Amino acid sequence: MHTVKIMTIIAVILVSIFCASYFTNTTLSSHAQSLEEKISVIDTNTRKGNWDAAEAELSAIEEEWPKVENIWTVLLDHIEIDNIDEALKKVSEYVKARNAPLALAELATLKQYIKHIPEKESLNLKNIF
Amino acid sequence: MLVVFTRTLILFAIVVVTMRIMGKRQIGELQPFELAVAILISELAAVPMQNTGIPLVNGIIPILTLLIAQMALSFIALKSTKARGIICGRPSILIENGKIKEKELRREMFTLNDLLEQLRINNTPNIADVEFAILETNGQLSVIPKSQKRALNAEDLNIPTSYEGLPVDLIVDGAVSYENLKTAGLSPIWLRQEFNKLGVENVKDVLFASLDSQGKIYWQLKSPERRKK
Repeated sequence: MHTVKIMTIIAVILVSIFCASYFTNTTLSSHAQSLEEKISVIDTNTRKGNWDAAEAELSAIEEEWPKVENIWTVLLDHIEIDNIDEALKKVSEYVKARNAPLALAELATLKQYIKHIPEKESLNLKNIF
Repeated sequence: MLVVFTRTLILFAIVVVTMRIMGKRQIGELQPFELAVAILISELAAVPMQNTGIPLVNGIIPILTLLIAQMALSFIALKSTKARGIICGRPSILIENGKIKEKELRREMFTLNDLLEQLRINNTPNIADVEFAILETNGQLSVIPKSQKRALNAEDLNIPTSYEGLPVDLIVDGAVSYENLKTAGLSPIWLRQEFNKLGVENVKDVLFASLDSQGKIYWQLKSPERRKK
Protein backbone atom coordinates (compact mmCIF):
# COMPACT_ATOMS: atom_id res chain seq x y z
CA MET A 1 0.00 0.00 0.00
CA HIS A 2 2.78 2.37 0.99
CA THR A 3 4.73 1.31 -2.12
CA VAL A 4 1.72 2.02 -4.31
CA LYS A 5 1.29 5.43 -2.69
CA ILE A 6 4.92 6.39 -3.32
CA MET A 7 4.92 5.10 -6.89
CA THR A 8 1.66 6.92 -7.59
CA ILE A 9 2.96 10.24 -6.27
CA ILE A 10 6.17 9.89 -8.28
CA ALA A 11 4.27 8.90 -11.41
CA VAL A 12 1.74 11.72 -11.10
CA ILE A 13 4.43 14.37 -10.63
CA LEU A 14 6.60 12.98 -13.46
CA VAL A 15 3.68 12.80 -15.90
CA SER A 16 2.58 16.34 -14.91
CA ILE A 17 6.08 17.70 -15.49
CA PHE A 18 6.42 15.97 -18.87
CA CYS A 19 2.96 17.04 -20.02
CA ALA A 20 3.54 20.62 -18.85
CA SER A 21 6.89 20.63 -20.64
CA TYR A 22 5.38 19.35 -23.87
CA PHE A 23 2.56 21.89 -23.63
CA THR A 24 5.05 24.70 -22.93
CA ASN A 25 7.28 23.83 -25.89
CA THR A 26 4.34 23.44 -28.26
CA THR A 27 2.77 26.71 -27.13
CA LEU A 28 6.01 28.67 -27.31
CA SER A 29 6.84 27.29 -30.76
CA SER A 30 3.42 28.00 -32.23
CA HIS A 31 3.25 31.52 -30.81
CA ALA A 32 6.80 32.28 -31.92
CA GLN A 33 6.11 30.98 -35.42
CA SER A 34 2.97 33.08 -35.74
CA LEU A 35 4.77 36.23 -34.62
CA GLU A 36 7.80 35.52 -36.83
CA GLU A 37 5.57 35.15 -39.89
CA LYS A 38 3.99 38.53 -39.23
CA ILE A 39 7.43 40.09 -38.66
CA SER A 40 8.61 38.64 -42.00
CA VAL A 41 5.63 40.26 -43.73
CA ILE A 42 6.45 43.64 -42.13
CA ASP A 43 10.08 43.18 -43.17
CA THR A 44 9.14 42.47 -46.78
CA ASN A 45 6.73 45.41 -46.92
CA THR A 46 9.28 47.74 -45.34
CA ARG A 47 11.91 46.76 -47.92
CA LYS A 48 9.42 47.40 -50.73
CA GLY A 49 8.27 50.66 -49.17
CA ASN A 50 4.69 49.42 -48.62
CA TRP A 51 4.26 51.30 -45.36
CA ASP A 52 0.49 50.93 -45.12
CA ALA A 53 0.72 47.15 -45.42
CA ALA A 54 3.59 47.14 -42.93
CA GLU A 55 1.54 49.18 -40.46
CA ALA A 56 -1.47 46.88 -40.88
CA GLU A 57 0.65 43.84 -40.12
CA LEU A 58 2.22 45.67 -37.19
CA SER A 59 -1.27 46.31 -35.78
CA ALA A 60 -1.96 42.59 -36.07
CA ILE A 61 1.17 41.85 -34.00
CA GLU A 62 0.25 44.52 -31.46
CA GLU A 63 -3.14 42.87 -31.11
CA GLU A 64 -1.71 39.36 -30.79
CA TRP A 65 1.21 40.18 -28.53
CA PRO A 66 -0.71 40.97 -25.27
CA LYS A 67 -2.46 37.57 -25.41
CA VAL A 68 0.85 35.81 -26.07
CA GLU A 69 2.55 37.90 -23.38
CA ASN A 70 0.09 36.75 -20.71
CA ILE A 71 1.05 33.14 -21.35
CA TRP A 72 4.77 33.73 -21.89
CA THR A 73 5.08 35.72 -18.65
CA VAL A 74 4.19 32.60 -16.68
CA LEU A 75 6.74 30.46 -18.48
CA LEU A 76 9.73 32.67 -19.22
CA ASP A 77 12.13 35.05 -17.52
CA HIS A 78 10.46 38.44 -17.48
CA ILE A 79 13.51 40.07 -18.98
CA GLU A 80 12.83 38.18 -22.23
CA ILE A 81 9.33 39.66 -22.30
CA ASP A 82 10.70 43.12 -21.54
CA ASN A 83 13.18 42.82 -24.43
CA ILE A 84 10.40 41.91 -26.85
CA ASP A 85 8.20 44.74 -25.54
CA GLU A 86 11.02 47.21 -26.06
CA ALA A 87 11.88 45.99 -29.55
CA LEU A 88 8.22 45.99 -30.59
CA LYS A 89 7.83 49.56 -29.38
CA LYS A 90 10.85 50.65 -31.40
CA VAL A 91 9.62 48.84 -34.52
CA SER A 92 6.25 50.55 -34.16
CA GLU A 93 7.82 54.01 -33.98
CA TYR A 94 10.28 53.42 -36.82
CA VAL A 95 7.52 52.10 -39.10
CA LYS A 96 5.25 55.04 -38.26
CA ALA A 97 8.16 57.37 -38.98
CA ARG A 98 8.80 55.44 -42.23
CA ASN A 99 12.46 55.00 -41.34
CA ALA A 100 13.40 51.89 -43.30
CA PRO A 101 17.00 51.24 -42.10
CA LEU A 102 16.15 51.57 -38.40
CA ALA A 103 12.86 49.67 -38.82
CA LEU A 104 14.63 46.79 -40.57
CA ALA A 105 17.36 46.64 -37.92
CA GLU A 106 14.85 46.61 -35.10
CA LEU A 107 12.69 44.03 -36.91
CA ALA A 108 15.73 41.76 -37.15
CA THR A 109 16.31 42.23 -33.40
CA LEU A 110 12.66 41.53 -32.60
CA LYS A 111 12.67 38.44 -34.78
CA GLN A 112 15.80 37.17 -33.06
CA TYR A 113 14.34 37.76 -29.56
CA ILE A 114 11.22 35.81 -30.50
CA LYS A 115 13.01 33.09 -32.46
CA HIS A 116 15.40 32.25 -29.65
CA ILE A 117 12.61 31.71 -27.09
CA PRO A 118 11.53 28.19 -28.18
CA GLU A 119 15.21 27.38 -28.96
CA LYS A 120 16.17 28.35 -25.42
CA GLU A 121 13.43 26.27 -23.84
CA SER A 122 13.94 23.09 -25.86
CA LEU A 123 15.64 20.04 -24.38
CA ASN A 124 19.14 19.75 -25.83
CA LEU A 125 22.71 19.43 -24.61
CA LYS A 126 23.47 23.07 -25.22
CA ASN A 127 20.63 24.21 -22.96
CA ILE A 128 21.39 21.64 -20.28
CA PHE A 129 25.05 22.60 -20.05
CA MET B 1 5.14 44.48 -2.96
CA LEU B 2 2.03 42.33 -2.93
CA VAL B 3 3.54 40.35 -5.79
CA VAL B 4 6.50 39.39 -3.62
CA PHE B 5 4.15 38.65 -0.74
CA THR B 6 1.96 36.34 -2.84
CA ARG B 7 4.92 34.54 -4.44
CA THR B 8 6.45 33.99 -1.01
CA LEU B 9 3.24 32.48 0.33
CA ILE B 10 2.88 30.17 -2.67
CA LEU B 11 6.48 28.96 -2.46
CA PHE B 12 6.26 28.59 1.31
CA ALA B 13 3.15 26.40 0.93
CA ILE B 14 4.90 24.28 -1.69
CA VAL B 15 8.00 23.84 0.47
CA VAL B 16 5.91 22.86 3.52
CA VAL B 17 3.87 20.36 1.49
CA THR B 18 7.06 18.96 -0.06
CA MET B 19 8.70 18.52 3.35
CA ARG B 20 5.57 16.81 4.65
CA ILE B 21 5.44 14.42 1.73
CA MET B 22 9.12 13.61 2.24
CA GLY B 23 8.25 12.46 5.74
CA LYS B 24 9.18 13.13 9.37
CA ARG B 25 12.75 11.94 8.88
CA GLN B 26 13.41 14.98 6.75
CA ILE B 27 12.83 17.25 9.68
CA GLY B 28 14.55 15.02 12.24
CA GLU B 29 17.72 13.10 11.59
CA LEU B 30 18.89 13.43 8.04
CA GLN B 31 20.76 11.09 5.77
CA PRO B 32 23.40 12.84 3.58
CA PHE B 33 21.20 12.92 0.47
CA GLU B 34 18.24 14.14 2.54
CA LEU B 35 20.33 16.99 3.92
CA ALA B 36 21.38 17.91 0.37
CA VAL B 37 17.73 17.94 -0.71
CA ALA B 38 16.62 20.07 2.26
CA ILE B 39 19.31 22.67 1.57
CA LEU B 40 18.61 22.70 -2.17
CA ILE B 41 14.86 23.11 -1.67
CA SER B 42 15.32 26.10 0.59
CA GLU B 43 17.71 27.75 -1.89
CA LEU B 44 15.40 27.01 -4.83
CA ALA B 45 12.44 28.54 -3.02
CA ALA B 46 14.35 31.63 -1.90
CA VAL B 47 15.48 32.77 -5.36
CA PRO B 48 12.04 33.22 -7.02
CA MET B 49 10.70 34.62 -3.73
CA GLN B 50 13.00 37.61 -4.00
CA ASN B 51 13.37 37.94 -7.75
CA THR B 52 9.98 38.60 -9.34
CA GLY B 53 11.63 38.48 -12.78
CA ILE B 54 11.96 34.73 -12.50
CA PRO B 55 8.77 32.84 -13.30
CA LEU B 56 7.35 31.01 -10.29
CA VAL B 57 7.33 27.84 -12.32
CA ASN B 58 11.16 27.96 -12.37
CA GLY B 59 11.11 27.49 -8.61
CA ILE B 60 8.26 25.01 -8.42
CA ILE B 61 9.50 22.52 -11.04
CA PRO B 62 12.97 22.04 -9.44
CA ILE B 63 11.35 21.58 -6.02
CA LEU B 64 9.00 18.91 -7.39
CA THR B 65 11.90 17.29 -9.22
CA LEU B 66 13.89 17.09 -6.00
CA LEU B 67 10.86 15.71 -4.21
CA ILE B 68 10.46 12.82 -6.63
CA ALA B 69 14.22 12.20 -6.75
CA GLN B 70 14.35 12.03 -2.96
CA MET B 71 11.30 9.78 -2.79
CA ALA B 72 12.76 7.49 -5.44
CA LEU B 73 16.10 7.24 -3.59
CA SER B 74 14.38 6.63 -0.26
CA PHE B 75 12.23 3.96 -1.85
CA ILE B 76 15.24 2.23 -3.42
CA ALA B 77 17.12 2.42 -0.10
CA LEU B 78 14.08 0.87 1.62
CA LYS B 79 13.83 -2.04 -0.80
CA SER B 80 17.52 -2.87 -1.29
CA THR B 81 20.12 -3.27 1.47
CA LYS B 82 22.94 -3.03 -1.06
CA ALA B 83 21.54 0.18 -2.52
CA ARG B 84 21.07 1.55 0.99
CA GLY B 85 24.76 0.99 1.64
CA ILE B 86 25.63 2.99 -1.46
CA ILE B 87 23.08 5.77 -0.99
CA CYS B 88 23.20 6.20 2.78
CA GLY B 89 26.52 4.59 3.64
CA ARG B 90 27.07 2.15 6.49
CA PRO B 91 27.49 2.78 10.21
CA SER B 92 31.11 2.80 11.37
CA ILE B 93 32.26 1.29 14.62
CA LEU B 94 34.69 3.76 16.18
CA ILE B 95 35.08 2.00 19.52
CA GLU B 96 34.81 -1.77 19.57
CA ASN B 97 34.99 -3.81 22.74
CA GLY B 98 36.41 -0.80 24.56
CA LYS B 99 39.20 -0.17 22.05
CA ILE B 100 39.39 2.88 19.78
CA LYS B 101 39.58 1.85 16.14
CA GLU B 102 42.13 4.27 14.72
CA LYS B 103 41.67 3.16 11.14
CA GLU B 104 37.92 3.85 11.26
CA LEU B 105 38.48 7.23 12.87
CA ARG B 106 40.87 8.21 10.09
CA ARG B 107 38.54 6.86 7.42
CA GLU B 108 35.64 8.88 8.78
CA MET B 109 37.89 11.92 9.31
CA PHE B 110 36.64 11.94 12.87
CA THR B 111 39.24 13.31 15.28
CA LEU B 112 39.70 12.08 18.83
CA ASN B 113 38.45 15.45 20.03
CA ASP B 114 35.25 14.99 17.98
CA LEU B 115 34.86 11.55 19.51
CA LEU B 116 35.33 12.79 23.07
CA GLU B 117 32.91 15.65 22.43
CA GLN B 118 30.23 13.29 21.18
CA LEU B 119 30.79 10.96 24.13
CA ARG B 120 30.27 13.85 26.53
CA ILE B 121 27.09 14.85 24.67
CA ASN B 122 25.93 11.24 25.09
CA ASN B 123 26.45 11.50 28.87
CA THR B 124 29.48 9.25 28.81
CA PRO B 125 32.37 11.57 29.66
CA ASN B 126 34.75 8.72 30.48
CA ILE B 127 35.90 6.86 27.38
CA ALA B 128 36.88 3.93 29.59
CA ASP B 129 33.15 3.32 30.22
CA VAL B 130 32.37 2.79 26.55
CA GLU B 131 32.00 -0.68 25.08
CA PHE B 132 30.89 0.37 21.59
CA ALA B 133 30.64 3.73 19.87
CA ILE B 134 29.02 3.64 16.46
CA LEU B 135 28.96 6.54 14.03
CA GLU B 136 25.58 6.24 12.33
CA THR B 137 24.88 7.18 8.73
CA ASN B 138 23.11 10.36 9.81
CA GLY B 139 26.25 11.56 11.63
CA GLN B 140 25.05 10.80 15.15
CA LEU B 141 27.19 8.78 17.51
CA SER B 142 25.49 5.89 19.31
CA VAL B 143 27.19 4.95 22.57
CA ILE B 144 26.78 1.57 24.23
CA PRO B 145 28.34 1.64 27.70
CA LYS B 146 30.04 -1.30 29.33
CA SER B 147 27.57 -3.52 31.15
CA GLN B 148 28.91 -2.48 34.56
CA LYS B 149 28.57 1.18 33.68
CA ARG B 150 25.13 1.25 32.17
CA ALA B 151 22.11 2.55 34.04
CA LEU B 152 20.56 0.21 36.54
CA ASN B 153 17.17 -1.19 35.67
CA ALA B 154 14.45 -3.16 37.47
CA GLU B 155 15.58 -6.45 35.95
CA ASP B 156 19.04 -6.04 37.53
CA LEU B 157 17.43 -5.80 40.97
CA ASN B 158 14.86 -8.52 40.27
CA ILE B 159 12.05 -6.08 40.88
CA PRO B 160 8.83 -7.03 39.12
CA THR B 161 7.20 -4.20 37.22
CA SER B 162 3.78 -3.80 35.72
CA TYR B 163 3.15 -2.89 32.11
CA GLU B 164 3.60 0.80 31.35
CA GLY B 165 1.87 1.79 28.18
CA LEU B 166 1.70 5.14 26.49
CA PRO B 167 -0.33 7.78 28.30
CA VAL B 168 -3.47 8.69 26.42
CA ASP B 169 -4.20 12.35 25.75
CA LEU B 170 -7.80 12.95 26.76
CA ILE B 171 -8.05 16.73 26.51
CA VAL B 172 -5.76 19.10 24.63
CA ASP B 173 -6.40 22.82 25.01
CA GLY B 174 -10.02 22.28 25.99
CA ALA B 175 -10.77 19.93 23.10
CA VAL B 176 -11.73 16.39 24.08
CA SER B 177 -10.04 13.72 22.01
CA TYR B 178 -12.95 11.38 21.32
CA GLU B 179 -10.76 9.11 19.24
CA ASN B 180 -8.35 8.56 22.13
CA LEU B 181 -11.24 8.00 24.54
CA LYS B 182 -12.59 5.32 22.20
CA THR B 183 -9.14 3.70 21.90
CA ALA B 184 -8.90 3.59 25.70
CA GLY B 185 -12.38 2.06 25.88
CA LEU B 186 -13.79 5.05 27.73
CA SER B 187 -16.72 7.31 27.11
CA PRO B 188 -17.24 11.10 27.21
CA ILE B 189 -19.72 10.53 30.06
CA TRP B 190 -17.01 8.82 32.11
CA LEU B 191 -14.69 11.77 31.39
CA ARG B 192 -17.25 14.32 32.56
CA GLN B 193 -17.97 12.28 35.70
CA GLU B 194 -14.27 12.01 36.54
CA PHE B 195 -13.77 15.73 36.15
CA ASN B 196 -16.89 16.48 38.17
CA LYS B 197 -15.32 14.46 40.99
CA LEU B 198 -12.22 16.64 40.61
CA GLY B 199 -14.36 19.77 40.87
CA VAL B 200 -14.25 20.72 37.20
CA GLU B 201 -17.69 21.48 35.80
CA ASN B 202 -16.72 22.18 32.23
CA VAL B 203 -14.08 20.04 30.52
CA LYS B 204 -13.47 22.87 28.06
CA ASP B 205 -11.70 24.68 30.92
CA VAL B 206 -9.06 21.96 31.06
CA LEU B 207 -5.78 22.84 29.34
CA PHE B 208 -4.47 19.31 29.23
CA ALA B 209 -5.47 15.94 30.62
CA SER B 210 -3.91 12.55 30.07
CA LEU B 211 -4.52 9.08 31.43
CA ASP B 212 -1.66 6.73 32.21
CA SER B 213 -1.77 2.93 32.10
CA GLN B 214 -2.29 2.85 35.88
CA GLY B 215 -5.54 4.78 35.43
CA LYS B 216 -4.23 8.01 36.95
CA ILE B 217 -5.29 11.26 35.38
CA TYR B 218 -2.82 14.11 35.01
CA TRP B 219 -4.69 17.35 34.42
CA GLN B 220 -4.28 21.08 34.46
CA LEU B 221 -6.81 23.87 34.08
CA LYS B 222 -6.42 26.78 31.67
CA SER B 223 -5.41 30.14 33.08
CA PRO B 224 -8.41 31.96 34.68
CA GLU B 225 -8.87 34.49 31.87
CA ARG B 226 -9.16 31.71 29.31
CA ARG B 227 -11.78 29.71 31.14
CA LYS B 228 -15.37 29.92 29.95
CA LYS B 229 -17.63 31.92 32.25
